[in-house]
Amino acid sequence: MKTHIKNEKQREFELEALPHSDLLYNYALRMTNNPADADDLLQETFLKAFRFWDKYERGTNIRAWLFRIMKNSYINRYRKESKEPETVDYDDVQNIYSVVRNSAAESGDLQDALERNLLDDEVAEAVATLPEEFRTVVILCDIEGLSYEEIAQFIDCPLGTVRSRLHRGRKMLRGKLKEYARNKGYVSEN
Amino acid sequence: MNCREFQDQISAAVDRYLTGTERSLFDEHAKTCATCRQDFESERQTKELVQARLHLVHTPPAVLESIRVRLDSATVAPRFTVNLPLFRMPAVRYAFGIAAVVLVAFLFGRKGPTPWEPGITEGTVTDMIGHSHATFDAMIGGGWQPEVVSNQPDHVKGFFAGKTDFPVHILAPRNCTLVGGSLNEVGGTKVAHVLYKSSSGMIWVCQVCVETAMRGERLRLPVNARRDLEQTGWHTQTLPDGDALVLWTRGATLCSAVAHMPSEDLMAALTSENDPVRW
Repeated sequence: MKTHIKNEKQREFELEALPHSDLLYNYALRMTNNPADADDLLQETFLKAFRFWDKYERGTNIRAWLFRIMKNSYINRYRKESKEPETVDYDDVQNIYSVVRNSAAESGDLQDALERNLLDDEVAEAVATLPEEFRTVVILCDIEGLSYEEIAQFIDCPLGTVRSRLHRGRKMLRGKLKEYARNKGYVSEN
Repeated sequence: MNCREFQDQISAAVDRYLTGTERSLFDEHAKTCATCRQDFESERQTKELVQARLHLVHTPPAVLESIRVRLDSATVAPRFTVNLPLFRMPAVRYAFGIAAVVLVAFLFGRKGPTPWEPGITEGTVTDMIGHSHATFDAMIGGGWQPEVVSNQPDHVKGFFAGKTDFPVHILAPRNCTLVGGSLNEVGGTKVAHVLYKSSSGMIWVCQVCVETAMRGERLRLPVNARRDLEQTGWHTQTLPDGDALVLWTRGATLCSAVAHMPSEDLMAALTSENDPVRW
């Protein structure tokens, strides 16, 4: 009897939760920037989700539920190992990027240089080194194509915060890409 | 539109979320401010570059297959992912849980850098009973770092002072030692967690604002629990895996205690001769 119930539950889980694996896998891949780590994170997420399948409220956003399990697993596993500060809340830090104007104008050739020379891996690396809260929204919006509303649901924050983090995240990413290009000699120091 | 307002709308413009009117004002400012115009172009180009270079990939079939195999061998709501026969013994599990908490507290000092690393995410558990049980499981599994480690009630109470909109009660359960506590948020709702150690195992007490739970927004109560609380002042139940849970209210605070012991034993630890719950 117990085996029968478990198989029914497993079947239900596989039908409802597993189809969202691509969304989760891409998030894991971009957060860890390592396919083996992404595999592990995905497996750990689904196992935890299965373990707490009884706690999932049918009819609510399962993608958001799964995503939050993965995000917590990521935090548990990787925040301890990283040198990233755990207590800085960038939403509380004054956004110098939005109040201080760019003093250095970008040349019209910069985008060409970035597009022509930067490898996919280098762009992936730049994304992977963004602070976690900005990396998350950039991945969910620019790579996974989620709407602001869904992102807000995933990370449990207001729409304004999603917008603000996207703006700051993309600006930071731009800075990192420029630095990569400068270091590699794709663009001049000036 | 000034530059600050323009900057606040850049992402929405890049992602095409602006209304017609908003876009007109946005474009109007861009025409007059070269710096803002460049910022918009930079962000737009950055998004294009990311989309051009980082494509969505499918989950490798081997990974999906591995997940299915592991689901086949997973039991329902196991306490641990560690597959050692020794860990099936309650005494060993609790010894491990206590050792893990003490070790973590020693390594991170009086205040851990991150108080809570649950195996289940905040916000996904929306009822008080589920939250209490899930966090108890995760604590036993070694995934909890207390923010305050002390066996002195005044010290632990002092930690919570001014941080919640409900009073946090530090209990004196019979034959128990206070271990420590942490303060966390579940979807914007503050939850105080306090841990006690008894000879029978750990007692995990969660406290939230009773009004929040009764309103049913976050960490709500099932109907039967709510009825019991209204009629008798407390609610007990045995959870699916044999853990005991006791719910009660004290003024503006809703308290839940979870422990791996019969519910009568948990009630006995929490009650005294004179008061329903000994403080």
